[in-house]
Amino acid sequence: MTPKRSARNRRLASVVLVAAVPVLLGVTGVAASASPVPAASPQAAAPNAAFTKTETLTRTNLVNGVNQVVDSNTVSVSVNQTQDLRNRQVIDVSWTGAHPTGGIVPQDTGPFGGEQEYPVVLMMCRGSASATSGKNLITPETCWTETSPERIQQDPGTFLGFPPYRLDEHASAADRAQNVGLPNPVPANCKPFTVVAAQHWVPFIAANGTVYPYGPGTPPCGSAPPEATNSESTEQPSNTTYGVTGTNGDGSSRFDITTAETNASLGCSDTVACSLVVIPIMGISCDPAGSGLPPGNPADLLPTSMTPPTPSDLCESTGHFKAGAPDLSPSQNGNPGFGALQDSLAVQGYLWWSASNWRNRIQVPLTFAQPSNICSLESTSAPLQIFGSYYLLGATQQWAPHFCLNKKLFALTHVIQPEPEAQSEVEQRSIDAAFEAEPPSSAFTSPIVQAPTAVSGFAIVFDIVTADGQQLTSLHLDARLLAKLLTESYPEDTDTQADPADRNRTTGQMNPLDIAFDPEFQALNPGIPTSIATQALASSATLLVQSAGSSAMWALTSYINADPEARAWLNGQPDPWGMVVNVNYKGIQLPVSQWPLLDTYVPKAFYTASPCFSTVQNPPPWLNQVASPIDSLSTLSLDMQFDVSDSVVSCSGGTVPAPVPFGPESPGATFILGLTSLSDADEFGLPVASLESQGGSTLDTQFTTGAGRTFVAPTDASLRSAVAMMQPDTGAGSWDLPYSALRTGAAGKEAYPGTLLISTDVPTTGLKKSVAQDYGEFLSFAAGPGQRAGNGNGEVPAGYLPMTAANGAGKLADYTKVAAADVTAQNGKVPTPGQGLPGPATSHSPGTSSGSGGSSASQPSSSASGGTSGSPAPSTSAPVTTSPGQAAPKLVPTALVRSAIAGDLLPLVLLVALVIATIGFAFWQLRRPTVPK
Amino acid sequence: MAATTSSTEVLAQINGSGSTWAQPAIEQWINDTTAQGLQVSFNGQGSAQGRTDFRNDTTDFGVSDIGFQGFNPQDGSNDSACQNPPNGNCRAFAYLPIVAGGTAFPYQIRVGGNLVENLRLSGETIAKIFTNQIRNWDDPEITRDNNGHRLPDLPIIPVMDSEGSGASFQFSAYLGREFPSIWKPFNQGSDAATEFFPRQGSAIAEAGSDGIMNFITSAAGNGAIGYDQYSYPKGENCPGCTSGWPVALLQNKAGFFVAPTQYNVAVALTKAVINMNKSSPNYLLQTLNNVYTDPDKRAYALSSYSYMIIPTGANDPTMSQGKRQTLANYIDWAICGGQAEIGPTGYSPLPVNLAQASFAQMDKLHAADHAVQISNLNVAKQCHNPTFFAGHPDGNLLAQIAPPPPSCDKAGVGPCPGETGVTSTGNPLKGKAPPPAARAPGSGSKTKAGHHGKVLVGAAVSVSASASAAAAPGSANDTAADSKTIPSAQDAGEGVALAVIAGLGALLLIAIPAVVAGRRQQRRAVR
Repeated sequence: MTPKRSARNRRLASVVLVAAVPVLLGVTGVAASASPVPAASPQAAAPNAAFTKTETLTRTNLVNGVNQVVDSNTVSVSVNQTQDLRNRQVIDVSWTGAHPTGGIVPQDTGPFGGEQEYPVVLMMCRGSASATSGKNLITPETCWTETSPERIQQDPGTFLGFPPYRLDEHASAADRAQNVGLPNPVPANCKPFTVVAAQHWVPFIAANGTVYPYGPGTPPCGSAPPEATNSESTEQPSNTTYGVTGTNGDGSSRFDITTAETNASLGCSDTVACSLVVIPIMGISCDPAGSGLPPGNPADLLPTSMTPPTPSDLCESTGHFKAGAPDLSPSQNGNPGFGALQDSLAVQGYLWWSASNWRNRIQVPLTFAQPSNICSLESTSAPLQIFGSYYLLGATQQWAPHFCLNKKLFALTHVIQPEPEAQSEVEQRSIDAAFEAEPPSSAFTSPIVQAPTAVSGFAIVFDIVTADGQQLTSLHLDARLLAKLLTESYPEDTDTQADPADRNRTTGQMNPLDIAFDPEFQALNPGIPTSIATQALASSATLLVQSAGSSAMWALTSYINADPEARAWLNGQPDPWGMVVNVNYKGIQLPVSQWPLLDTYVPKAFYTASPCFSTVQNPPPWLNQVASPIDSLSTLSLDMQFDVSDSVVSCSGGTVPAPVPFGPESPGATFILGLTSLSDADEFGLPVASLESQGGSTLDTQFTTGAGRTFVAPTDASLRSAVAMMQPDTGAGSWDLPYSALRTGAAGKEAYPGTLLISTDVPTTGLKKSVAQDYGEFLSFAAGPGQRAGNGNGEVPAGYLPMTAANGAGKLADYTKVAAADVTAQNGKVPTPGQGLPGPATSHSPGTSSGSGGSSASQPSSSASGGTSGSPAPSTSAPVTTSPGQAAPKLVPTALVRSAIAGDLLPLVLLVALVIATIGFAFWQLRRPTVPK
Repeated sequence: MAATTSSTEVLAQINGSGSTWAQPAIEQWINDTTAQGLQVSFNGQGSAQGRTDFRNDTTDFGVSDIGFQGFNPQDGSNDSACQNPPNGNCRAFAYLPIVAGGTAFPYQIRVGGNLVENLRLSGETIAKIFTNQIRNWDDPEITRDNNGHRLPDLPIIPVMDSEGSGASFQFSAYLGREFPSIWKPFNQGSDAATEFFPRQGSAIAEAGSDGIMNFITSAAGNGAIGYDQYSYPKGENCPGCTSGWPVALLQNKAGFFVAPTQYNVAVALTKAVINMNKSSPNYLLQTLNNVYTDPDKRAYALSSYSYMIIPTGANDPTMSQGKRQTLANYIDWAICGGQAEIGPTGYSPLPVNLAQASFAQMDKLHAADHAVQISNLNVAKQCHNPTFFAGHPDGNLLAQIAPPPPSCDKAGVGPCPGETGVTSTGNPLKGKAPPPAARAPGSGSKTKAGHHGKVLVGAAVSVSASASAAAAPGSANDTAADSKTIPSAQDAGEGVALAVIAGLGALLLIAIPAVVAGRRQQRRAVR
């Protein structure tokens, strides 16, 4: 499939407005046109699909009363999730055996997608999949489309009044009339548009019974639902998808669920049944003689003498394009009858509603979670505010109704704030409570509990298009690759790559341009072409992260720091292929809560040629522009969903050119990686990389596969394994994931290294009694009833492992129960983690407070390694199609680079600095002033 | 109750764009109301873009730090709500104040690799810095602002916003009003404010708030100073700092150097002149001249309001009943409950009279479509607005209880150690501002490895900047001078000793590798 480009790319519209023609800063010119989709790789149906169905679909031609088979396909459809769906949730739909798609356009939704030939149409329809009659029957009129071309066909005469749908042998005579479905009366606005040779309207019937005719024109001349739009704007999502099938018959698409919360006209909810309707377009089964046309009316008589192509020829057409070929000039007004491609319509997605296609539909029943929109926006009691972690937002949005709906409770407000800031302000008593996942290394100076509240994790999400045009679904990363991305060690542009002045290499060779060129990445992820990364430019050389402080960065850099390969590499040891750390990051001490931008290299020749920098005395370092972390995590997740690169590597037009973000990547040429929450990854359907847990200790030996390394995806099982390893830190009063044990113990092998334990920091002195009770109530809820998995009120959605004894987290929940009592009592106590807590007995003995923290007391995970994938196998059999021509813009001849800092001296340097610092500290301690100046 | 998202209400997704100055607050309210069933998206591309998108019917609402500036027939520039100015295809609208805050001056000055944390600047000095008249941190005028404590010889890199931003406008309006003799020659002879701050000489322009903060906090940013809404630097991690990334304390008319806390902003904005003429096209817009000159010693001079622009026409091309209802419910939360939560993040809540005025503006959505339900909230009773205190509907409790700046932050005294100028950012507790952020030596939560040390202006005397280790790995600073080792109240002499030691350590880190450089064999690149 082509990557989904729905019309709701918010940044898209604005970026275009801001910089109509952004000029690439780089001197390297890159062809960014979308490449057509070649053969898809073999793709097995998802093994754990919630829905699968196989149907044999046939296109026929009625000749002398006998049906001759023109085409027959056995199509299997799989959907990964169909139950308890939330608004805006993304589900995965995949299929095999369908007719390959041709005439491919960049956007597979909205008014353009329908023009493709042989797409697999995905749409939401109101009605029950099992209904055969009555008000729950699914009809084209209850199916959602955003634009009128998807519902209205008009023939201005091109088809002599007989477009293919009028020769559809499966359609009733009435449905084959000259004018079908027009509203009565025709709206005045529409009258000028209705004088055509033939037309067919499919009105939309809203949940409240209103009939919307849409009508031709932009915007539609008749009335359309308020959620519909005809413009390429930032309005409603167009989730109706015309999915692309590869030449091997396989395809997949991510589909956005919209409930009544977003689309009241369609009206899907926990009480109004809706289904996903999948229509593999086979083309019209023709009655070329017109034998089934309505009798009696001269206007309905098929003309007899015509010059080819006749309407019958056009109905029997198998398409204008070859399978996999792009349509470079889709008719943007979406009225194909007016276009030149008459031989295309019979197999286009626009005719999804025709009887021949409609009868081939596969109806997937869906159910929806109770909507969370039931909290009053204001309450008479003061809201209970908890500041901090974005990583808990998915849970708190479902928890809030639990509190607001109970009149005895309170309005829970989760104010997003960077965790280190929130944690610091709790200690300063600027705020009362904070969510964080970054336990302090020493205890708070005043009694503040850090009560475990939820188990979740960070996600390295990606959108990478492979050589066959498919979206990569599985990615394996080790800590060293992540360190390379973060340390700005991929030079990204050839000037920077070749410049000897700054890179300070130990090996004399140039670092790979971006991660796709890195042999280590290629070994772990075979088959990903460098050409895509080259087209995507900067985003393939960096990891998009949050600019402010965050617990996730602390956890990520803890993981990197504990990895022997990554740590050695950061200290200056080249990787087995000779790649070295950017000298500005060499020896960096980890973990950190906020990733520092340390590069200082300014590519002079390159900047001199750039209108953005040629007049600037102090141009910013290039690789910091490439990294360009952003403040808002919600924006980050959206950017990952829509492949928007935030790297500030483009130059605005206008009289005063200024650096601007690269913006949306070209469809078919996306290569972007980012750090966000597991919860967002699940909600937005973002693929998540598996992280190496163990196995890598190759400092010198090159490798070509991931054999011997274990990569762990975030699953309930792998989060459970991480929870089992969590150790009490009696000094800090927290529970920590021992990153070094993660690398060595048997349990660590199956644990997801990105696991986060999100805690609530609340003081146990100084709070007003009623407020303290509310916080206590919240903690008690989080330690018990709040830990049910699900999408309903008071539950934790996917992306969170319920913090329960069954998941090995009884020790954490028990701690929080005790903490809740201390908070309520405001008794100044802070329970010591891991030390014989009162409270409910658990099946897991609490950890010891030995303080060594080195060994894990975890029990083996009960799962059958559901989270591990062992050594990675090639996810695709397609050959690597690196085209020298495509990669050329970034390549330069090999060049010498200067030598670098001797990495092996670093420990000595650090030691000297440490000694000096210690002396300084002692000096200061001895002469500590008593009176401030 | 209307504001309750009930099943009888028709809702639809709405989309807005504009101010990055207000964006963190807007996004917080989106998070809040998502839990309440509203679908709101916001695209921060700067106030100028927000007004343009609104005029072009691209969005359902705009957010801008200033009002429309009008159509200029002389040069044809159109900053009105009309697509065919002066009067053609105009979109009817209303302004609503939604959030207040201060424009802060984040900076990076390192001494011996450590961050200076208690910089003080007068408005005049800032004016000269951003117009390239003062080009080095050791300038006598900066030394004077810091009561004789000289900063190192370090070139100043002013950082401005490359996008059309309200922060640029507010800052340049302040310069044009208070320092016209400095601003006018720089601004091509005009004392007018601009959303596109001219970049000249050693200054650089970065894209938006993210770009500005990324540069200032980067290794290349030593010597940089920019301007941005306070919540951005406040959210940046600065281990050991009391309140986020350091921002310059700005001198007010009373001679005190203060930070843009919610209290100091509230104090200054009591002097804002709000257009209360309901028939004026600029109804509710602000005139800040008296804010700049507020004689209160707590006032932060660069304080302002930011505005939402809502479509009010009955036949508005993008609005529907569902969109108006969603917009009304969103504003309901933003103006009411939303105000109570933003102070600690770096904003200042609206006073009750402005909140009520904003509610009244919302009635225009109902006027456009009577099916839209508007709640009649009692702001004083239902919103938990921290500015409210009984009997003073036009007052602002935060301004009443704002703590005075410490005496050491007065001109000619001090400077105060640490960030004591950042008095208090939390919401009031029991009718009082929470105590100032005290940082005890060795206090807990910020003592993890991997951060930079910091240093105080008072300790910077006679320390050469040549040892600046901005380009050295973080480990240099951490190993040499962990912030933990610098107490909040320390003698300048101690600081010097420590800074020298830190510098020495950093020098070693730089020098030793340089000595051994060149001894490794060179190899040809693979590619």
